[in-house]
Amino acid sequence: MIRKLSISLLFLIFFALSIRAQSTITAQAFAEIIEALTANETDQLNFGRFSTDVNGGDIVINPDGSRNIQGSVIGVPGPSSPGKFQITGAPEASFTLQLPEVSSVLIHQESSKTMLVTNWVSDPPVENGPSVLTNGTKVISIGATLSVGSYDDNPIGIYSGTFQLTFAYN
Amino acid sequence: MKKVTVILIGIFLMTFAFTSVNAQNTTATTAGASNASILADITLTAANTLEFGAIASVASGGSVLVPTTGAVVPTTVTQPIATNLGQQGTFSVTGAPSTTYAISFPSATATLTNQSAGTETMTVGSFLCRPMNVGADQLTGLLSTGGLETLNIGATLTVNAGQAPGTYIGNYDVTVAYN
Repeated sequence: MIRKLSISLLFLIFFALSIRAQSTITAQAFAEIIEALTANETDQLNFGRFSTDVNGGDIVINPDGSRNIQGSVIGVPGPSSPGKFQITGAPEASFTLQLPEVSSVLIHQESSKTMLVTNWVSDPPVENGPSVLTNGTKVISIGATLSVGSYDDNPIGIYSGTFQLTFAYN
Repeated sequence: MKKVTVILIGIFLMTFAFTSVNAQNTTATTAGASNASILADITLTAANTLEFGAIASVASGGSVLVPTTGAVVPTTVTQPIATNLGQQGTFSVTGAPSTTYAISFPSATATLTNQSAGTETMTVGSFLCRPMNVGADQLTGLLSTGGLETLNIGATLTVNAGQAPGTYIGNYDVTVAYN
């Protein structure tokens, strides 16, 4: 009887110690997958109207919208515009812009003669590093330089082409 | 009948031996105390939530490692929001002064569920623990002379290919027990 009692007592102590000697807690883990980045072209890159001469020249559209003309090209008043892109994504997320690495070729619709667009620049400038989507949105302005040939190389008409920008979360 | 007695004694001895070990631990680690006493309860309190931050999903998927100290490490995926890069989970442990204890994760993985869509999940695994009094990643902690320790918890989140946007929340368990 005494032995039985001592066994029960020992078990009791054993269990009591076990309960005190361990503690478990459930805690929360948290992650967020943010929405994908989207880009919309709100203004097309447009070098505007101009006339060329025997030597040709360059037309520069700056990201701020100003237009510089070099060489024997003569600007004609009328609309011109930097390319504008509205980037949308997660608020306060940073993203990078990659400008085209190659020239864009503009093709004359009637003759298939071409002009080249080079020297891509942006505002904010790519050299400044990633941009931030303040309130989840940011407008990027794209400028470039159009090389215009002589009158023979580039007859009158509309020239059009495409270029590729890459935006990515950083 | 004799056999039964032997078995009973066997159980009795085993129990006694186990209790003895505990008793020795108590006396050995209670510095300066003149009498052996039952250890103070060991308790665990959550402080910081384990967070993997804001993640930009990519088609191929990837992972985010939260180490027990230092910066979070994304692989393949990016974390574009500078103010939301994730953080370690932290817990406060209290118990008997200058005592070691074991830390364990009852489940090897935890599942985080998309709170907006409700069906998509991500898995958290490879839990890490750094008892800060020890200062290394290990599963044995050491309570201070004041009977306190902070645990830093890290883990790896697996982001699936094309993971849907949203907030993902899930639970994980941590257990502490005297050695």
